[in-house]
Amino acid sequence: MDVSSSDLYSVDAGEIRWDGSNWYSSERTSAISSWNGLGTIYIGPDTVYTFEDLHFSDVNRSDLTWDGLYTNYPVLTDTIQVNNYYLDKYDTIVRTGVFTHELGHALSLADIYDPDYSIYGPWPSVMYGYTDARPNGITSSDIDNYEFKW
Amino acid sequence: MQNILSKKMGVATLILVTMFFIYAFSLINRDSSSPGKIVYISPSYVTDVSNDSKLAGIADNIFIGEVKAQLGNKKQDKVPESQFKVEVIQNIKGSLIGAVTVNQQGGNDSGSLILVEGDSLLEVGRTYLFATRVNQEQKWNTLVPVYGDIRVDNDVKKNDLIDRFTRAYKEEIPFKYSKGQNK
Repeated sequence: MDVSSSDLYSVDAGEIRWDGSNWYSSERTSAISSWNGLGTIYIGPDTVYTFEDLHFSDVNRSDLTWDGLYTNYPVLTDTIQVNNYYLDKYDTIVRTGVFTHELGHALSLADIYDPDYSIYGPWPSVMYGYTDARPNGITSSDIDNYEFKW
Repeated sequence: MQNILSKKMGVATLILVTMFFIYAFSLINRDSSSPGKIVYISPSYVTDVSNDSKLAGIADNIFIGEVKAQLGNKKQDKVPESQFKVEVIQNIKGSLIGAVTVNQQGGNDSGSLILVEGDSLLEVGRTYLFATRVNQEQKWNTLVPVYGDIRVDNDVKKNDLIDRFTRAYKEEIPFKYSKGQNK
């Protein structure tokens, strides 16, 4: 059973071209590098010769209970927003994990909610839906799901 | 000679225009199941809000309230947000009084309904258990998606929810900011 793949994603012709800006750009770069390390889909900056598939931006909202948000629009450019209200208080590893998680959505990997660890065991996937209970980097189950999809 | 050149230019222009329309059409159809449908947004929650005690720990207010009216729809930070007038029926955590503004991430935008995955837009006339966080600047209470807007269909369910979240508040787990660990 493929529980962590979604039909909604930002991949276009084997790549994701992104634009936008984040305060925590080095964490974003680390997250992009880790997914690019898997090889099949290239995530790279938008150029004058490409079309933007994904746009990064920041919000700063204490009333929201998310630190990252991926939106897949049918027509418009997809977006990843990170909430600096929380990222400001995280360390680099966790901040990188938030970007890695959201980029996983852009690559078609869906959220995993397994609060009693009955499906995957403890700390199974960077696609786990809750930041305080997930690994901050790509795991073997993420690689399996990525390779299954791509 | 000039005639041949202008013909070539015409063919090239036609090819370019055709390619543009083919690309535009492919963009419109790219990864969309059907037009004008629900667009789900995928949040990374800061903590396990499906756990009542953790939800109680991160919420500023938990209360039962009836949605009286939709007040508006603001597009904040690219995502539409809908505001509702809610009459507070009973506080469980916090001390809200009378009518308050509850904000929900989601709403109509460019012909699509934008919703957080698993959530539904609040319905006027319905009663809900709300778990919210305050936005002082906007003077509203933003609900926690999915787990912070539980519909109350009858008095039995209402009493069950009051008991459940009174207990959760007593056993609340305050939110702590994550620090990187090699989990």
